[in-house]
Amino acid sequence: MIPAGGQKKKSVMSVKRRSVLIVDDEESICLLYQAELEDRGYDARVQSEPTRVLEEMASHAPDLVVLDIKMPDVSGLDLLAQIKEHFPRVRVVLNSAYGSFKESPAVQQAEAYVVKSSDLSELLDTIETLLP
Amino acid sequence: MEKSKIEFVILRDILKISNSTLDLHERLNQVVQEIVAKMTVDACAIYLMRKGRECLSLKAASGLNTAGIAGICLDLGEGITGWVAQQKTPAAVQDIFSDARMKYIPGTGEEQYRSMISAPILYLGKCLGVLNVWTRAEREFTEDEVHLLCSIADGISGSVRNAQLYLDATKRYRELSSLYDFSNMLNATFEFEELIGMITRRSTELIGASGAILRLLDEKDELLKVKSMYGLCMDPETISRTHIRLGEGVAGRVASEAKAAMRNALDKQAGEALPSEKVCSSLLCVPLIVKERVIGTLTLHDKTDANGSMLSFDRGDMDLLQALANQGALVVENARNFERAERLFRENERRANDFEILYEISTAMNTTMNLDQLLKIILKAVTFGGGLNFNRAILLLVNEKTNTLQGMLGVGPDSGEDAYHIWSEIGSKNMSFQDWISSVGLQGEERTSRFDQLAKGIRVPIGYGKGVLAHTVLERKGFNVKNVQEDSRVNPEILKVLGFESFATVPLISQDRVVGAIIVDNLYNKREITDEDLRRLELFASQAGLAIENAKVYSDLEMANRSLKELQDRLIQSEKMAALGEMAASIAHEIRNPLVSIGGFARRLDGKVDAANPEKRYSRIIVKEVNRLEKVLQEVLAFSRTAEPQFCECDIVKVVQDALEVFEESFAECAVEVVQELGQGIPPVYGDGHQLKQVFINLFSNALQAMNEGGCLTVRCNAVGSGDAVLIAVQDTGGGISEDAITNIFNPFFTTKHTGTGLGLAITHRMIEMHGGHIQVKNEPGVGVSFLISIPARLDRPPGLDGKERSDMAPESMKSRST
Repeated sequence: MIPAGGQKKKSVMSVKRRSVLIVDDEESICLLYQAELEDRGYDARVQSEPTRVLEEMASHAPDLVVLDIKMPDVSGLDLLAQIKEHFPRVRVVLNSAYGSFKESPAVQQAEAYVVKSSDLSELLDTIETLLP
Repeated sequence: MEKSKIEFVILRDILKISNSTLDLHERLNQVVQEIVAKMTVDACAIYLMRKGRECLSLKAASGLNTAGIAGICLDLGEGITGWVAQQKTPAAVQDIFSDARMKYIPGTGEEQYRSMISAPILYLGKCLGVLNVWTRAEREFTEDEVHLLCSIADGISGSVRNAQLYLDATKRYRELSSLYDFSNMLNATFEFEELIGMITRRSTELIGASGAILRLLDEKDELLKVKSMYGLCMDPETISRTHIRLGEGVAGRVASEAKAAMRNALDKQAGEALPSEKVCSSLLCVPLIVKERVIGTLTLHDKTDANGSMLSFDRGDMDLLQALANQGALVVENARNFERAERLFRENERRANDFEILYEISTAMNTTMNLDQLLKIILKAVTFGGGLNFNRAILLLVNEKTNTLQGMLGVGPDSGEDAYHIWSEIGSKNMSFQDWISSVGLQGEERTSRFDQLAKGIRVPIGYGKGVLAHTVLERKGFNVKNVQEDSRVNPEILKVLGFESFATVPLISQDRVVGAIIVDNLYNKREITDEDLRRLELFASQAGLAIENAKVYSDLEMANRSLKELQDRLIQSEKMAALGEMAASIAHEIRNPLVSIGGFARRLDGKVDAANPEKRYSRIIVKEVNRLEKVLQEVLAFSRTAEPQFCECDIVKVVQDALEVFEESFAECAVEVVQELGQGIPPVYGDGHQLKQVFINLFSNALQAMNEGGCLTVRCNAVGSGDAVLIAVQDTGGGISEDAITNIFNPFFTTKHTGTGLGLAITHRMIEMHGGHIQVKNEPGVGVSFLISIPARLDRPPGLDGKERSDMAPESMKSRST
């Protein structure tokens, strides 16, 4: 495991680094996920304003998006549809405090669905599986 | 003495005698003696007309042999005497033997006389008799002598007449007093047999016959039947067995014409009399008449005198017998009416008794609206000694769906020994039906008899030609099957099962609908089932049918009410759940998100803190407590949105084993011994494997917590109800729950533990109910708790409220949520 290095956000990424965009209105969650993903060697970016996600992705297209569902202004599920429309090759892991969204048909466009937990192992394992 | 003076003296003496108080017979004797003594004649005789018959009999004589001629008489016009009586004019005959009219009665010695005078004894122009005088020597009588004799005849005519009147009166009096005695005797009893016996005996005695036969007319077949016989009679057997049609023979004629008949020489009228009447030589038959209606005949036969020689019946006999018969008829009719009244009374009394019993039974039937109890009361009534008193009874109800008669209950002893035991016990207590019903109890604690089991197994299709039971329902009437072996209508399966010899059936009818049938028999005491028994049973069955219908309606209502109540409860419950779910969902976001941050960062910190550092302990605590909070949150969410089960066949044994596997290590750590009795041939259940596993995980988790210092967990699995359901028992030795807690254990948020949400058992309960199953708890304080779970092996009705099975939307790969 790569020890946590300094701020590498602005540096030019190596082509091989897997990139993940974290979309969640809770900034602390974004911070936590980013730290854990970076610890595991991912290029992790965060976006806590869902309205700016597509714009962000246009400039920096990630390999995978971790997407919250219940957010102010925009539903994660609508966002999912838009992501899949514009960036069909980007994988999406839905990450919600609710298990109930699992039953929504819109969910099927996502590659995975992980219920939020303080124990991140399920989420990290899922990302690992999707981005080998 | 001057001749006329002599005549005067004779006349005076004779009149004196004839007016004396002596008996007529004696007077007449003295008169003839006097005549022979005073007049110059050798013999004298007086003939009198016989009563009721136109002939002359010799009453007194001097110079004639009178021994052995009683009853012999001369007809009018027969001989000189008969001629005189007929012509009412005297005759003087000088030479009897040359007279054409000559006829004499042999043995009297009349032939020794040559000449005679014969004078009629006249009274008001009517001939009462004849007075004769004879001389041995032939002589010519003078006119004076003829006059004298006529004068003497006139002189005695008054006293003969008086004597006859007196005799008549005496006889009449005797008859009347006999009649009076007779009627007194008859009135002394209402006993029919005794009465008719008395009539034949007394009439025989009074009239001097050899015997009597009383026949009564049977109104149904119009035959005269012998009811009583008295006296000597040839071949009484045949006579009593021979019924006589109206108009046939003497008795038949008498009855049809309502007129008495007398036959004194039967052989002469052989054509008319029946062979059974010809056994006697004379008979007198009178009709028995009541209110101008012939009710029978009374026949006397063979009148004899004291010495046994035959006499003829005469008019007087006929009148007397008719009088007797009139009396007798009235009394016989009264007695018959009395008997009828008595029979009616007895019948009414029995009916009243029947009604009393029926009333008692119906009161008993009214004590319950529970169908099972009602059926029991009905059959108890049918077999109760003071009730309908049958040995055994089976009640069947019509199943309209399958169109069959279905055995519901059988009541009766299994063996003769059993029967004796039961009946002697009841008999010794002399109980009323009510007492008995309450003493035997209806709560089903009685042992079930083999007979009952057999009865419950009966299924008979309803259709024409499908046996007696089916026809009982279709024709709405009872059958009394006297000989089972010879009756092809009997369903053979019933015979085989129950071994009836003879039995009866009745339909149970309620408001024009046959709701069932009852079969009864008397296998043990072999008492024949009479039509009267059947009538009473039918009367009872009509009541029972109504009661059954009522109970059914009531139970339908009750069931509808119960299911409404259940529905309401479940609606309330689901409302509660929906509210709870909404609340849980709304706080989940607010709590889960911060918890993710808190817990996540705590883990990060924990990973960076060295194990030796005391801060490590604090970070551990944060991680642990966040875990706990997340678990609570998860349970709340799980309960609030317990999904509809996804039904499919699943192997319950495997589900239980999988759930046990989860706790394998924990059981070992806490020294809990696990006993599995999972049985063989457990059918698969229809349910959601994941949910069922969760059910057992919850139960094992509870058990584990109760036995964290060791114990024994027993899990049993059995098929019940011929494979309709599977019963799983989970038993621990964790000391049980307090009694006041036990009623709440399935309520959400109720917990006895310091940790936990109190939702585990509530979720378990909910899941089992959604599977159409049941969960029960048996608590033994100080020992442990057993949970009994039954899950239907096949699903008869959709579980849950809407019954819809939602086909899931999420792909299988996404169902990864851990519970």
